[in-house]
Amino acid sequence: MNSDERPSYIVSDEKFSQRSDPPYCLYEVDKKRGIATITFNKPHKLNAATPGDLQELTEKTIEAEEDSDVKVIVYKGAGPCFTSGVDLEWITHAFGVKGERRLSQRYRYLRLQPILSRQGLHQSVLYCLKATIAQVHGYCYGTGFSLATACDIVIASEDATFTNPAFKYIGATPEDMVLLFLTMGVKKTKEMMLTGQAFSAQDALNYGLINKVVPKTKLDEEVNIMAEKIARHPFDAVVMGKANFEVALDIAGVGACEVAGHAQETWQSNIQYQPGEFNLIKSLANKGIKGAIQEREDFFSDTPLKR
Amino acid sequence: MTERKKTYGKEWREETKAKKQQPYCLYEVDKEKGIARITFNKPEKLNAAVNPDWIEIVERTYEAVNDPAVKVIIYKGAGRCFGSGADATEIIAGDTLKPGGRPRGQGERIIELRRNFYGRRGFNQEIHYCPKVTIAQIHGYCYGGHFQMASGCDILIASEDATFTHPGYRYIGPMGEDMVHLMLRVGTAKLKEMMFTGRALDAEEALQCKLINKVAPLDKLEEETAKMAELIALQAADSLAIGKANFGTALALAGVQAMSSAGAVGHVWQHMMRSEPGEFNLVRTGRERGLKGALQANKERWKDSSLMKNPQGN
Repeated sequence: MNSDERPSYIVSDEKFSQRSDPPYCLYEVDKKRGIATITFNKPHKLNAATPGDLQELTEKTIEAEEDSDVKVIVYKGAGPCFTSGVDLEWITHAFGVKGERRLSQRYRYLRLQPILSRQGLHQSVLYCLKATIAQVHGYCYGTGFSLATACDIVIASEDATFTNPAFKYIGATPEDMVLLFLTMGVKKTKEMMLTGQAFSAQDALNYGLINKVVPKTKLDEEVNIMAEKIARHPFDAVVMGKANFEVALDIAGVGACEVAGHAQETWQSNIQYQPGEFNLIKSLANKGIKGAIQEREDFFSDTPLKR
Repeated sequence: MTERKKTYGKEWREETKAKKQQPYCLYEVDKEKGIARITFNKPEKLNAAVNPDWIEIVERTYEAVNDPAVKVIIYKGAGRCFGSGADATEIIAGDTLKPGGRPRGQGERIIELRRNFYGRRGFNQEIHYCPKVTIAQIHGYCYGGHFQMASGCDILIASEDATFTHPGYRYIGPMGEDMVHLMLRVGTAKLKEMMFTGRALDAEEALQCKLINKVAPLDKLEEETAKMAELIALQAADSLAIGKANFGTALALAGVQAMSSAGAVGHVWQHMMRSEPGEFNLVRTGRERGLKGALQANKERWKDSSLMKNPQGN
């Protein structure tokens, strides 16, 4: 098929809608306490998610939102970290394969739907009518960072680090820009987005990005306490409160930024790299994932960012 | 406690899908011309839609959005009209108190409302932000949810017999979820008149107040709509997609997004209104006399008013 006619992956791009086996999410509901837990479960890949995995995550979020026994949703990662973001394996596929025609703008726009549209992951979490808690340890990168930003509460262990590697490849991404402006202010957000530098848990706490830092051994317990505190409240109080937050966020401009952000991020996919710049796509195509990450590390190794 | 039937949630969706005997929408794509047609097909009920039908409309719209051959989506109704809105029997049943039962709480109500109608996954915003160009081809009643669907479309073409209103204005008053959008279309003065009186507009009046783009004789409606769709489909597909994305941003910046969220809350709040003696209460009357009885009672109440003076006499 001509790449220009390649449809959005929601419907028929197999690679994009393919679900993981076993599933990406472990999902449990503690009916008695009113708490649903969604665990990212691809520890061998540092919980990096494919687009299919992100769709699964959206579906689980909606399932918990619509479950009358659930008041609080906890997101966490199995293994060494929360999540390292999106699986780089599909990025070459997403940006087109050598020799094919340049991808059309409408295809670029539609393929971002499962992440950035109103039905996508980011807005499903941000505007979820149940309380959401991100329980973060290790890497909180990429879409995982964006998801944690969208949660009501973030509790992190001391070893957690926060950023989006995409800042290094395509620059500041719009979808969580305004949320970060609201949480840690314009200056710190711009610093993170323009440098691509990861913030430590303590820095993130100081900047107001997260709610609490605890020792790793206490993380489960602290999240539990927070979830129970919220779940003690009446069902209507939680849901009506969250609906009111949605109104406030939209009046503050978040909704408009989400709509514009979908378009802006589509535009960013047209980025052109100059000679001597780090080109993720080329590097992935030539050297594979491990090689590309190594090249990125080498590229940035002598900058003062590395500490 | 009596188990109240839920109208949202995974189990409900699966159960409804299994129960559904025939689809609500007819769906056809003219690949050559780049036009998809979604036809509401419950003519025996004047295309009144129950909750799963709205979800089906959204799913069909997704299908058209993600079909690379489609540039323009046309919505239309089979039988006598475009659509008479939500099936009122469902509204009455949903709110009816069973002996020993308790009314649904506000939390359950807003989860349902946002899921099926006015939230980010509901039909209302799906139309406002649809990445493909949308046209409503309207004849006869264009009421309720169908009025909201049609007025959210990019282009509205109506036959001379078309009438426009939301019966909800007569039961619960002005509804907020697409208030800003409608204000941008028809202006505040006209919208307030529509919302506070509940009076239906005929096609001519709708054209005058810029609610719709064009009026055509009934026997020319299909043709006129096809002409408009074909003209649009001559444009480059990327230009339409980028244009629609820009319109989405413009609408959101104009306040449509914020009012959608605030309006959903406002709508659920309207569920809690108390009707005073002598005022019409759709749910209570429907519970006592059935839907037909309730609609008759409602008609009686407005019989001397200007409401009755539109061509449909409704």
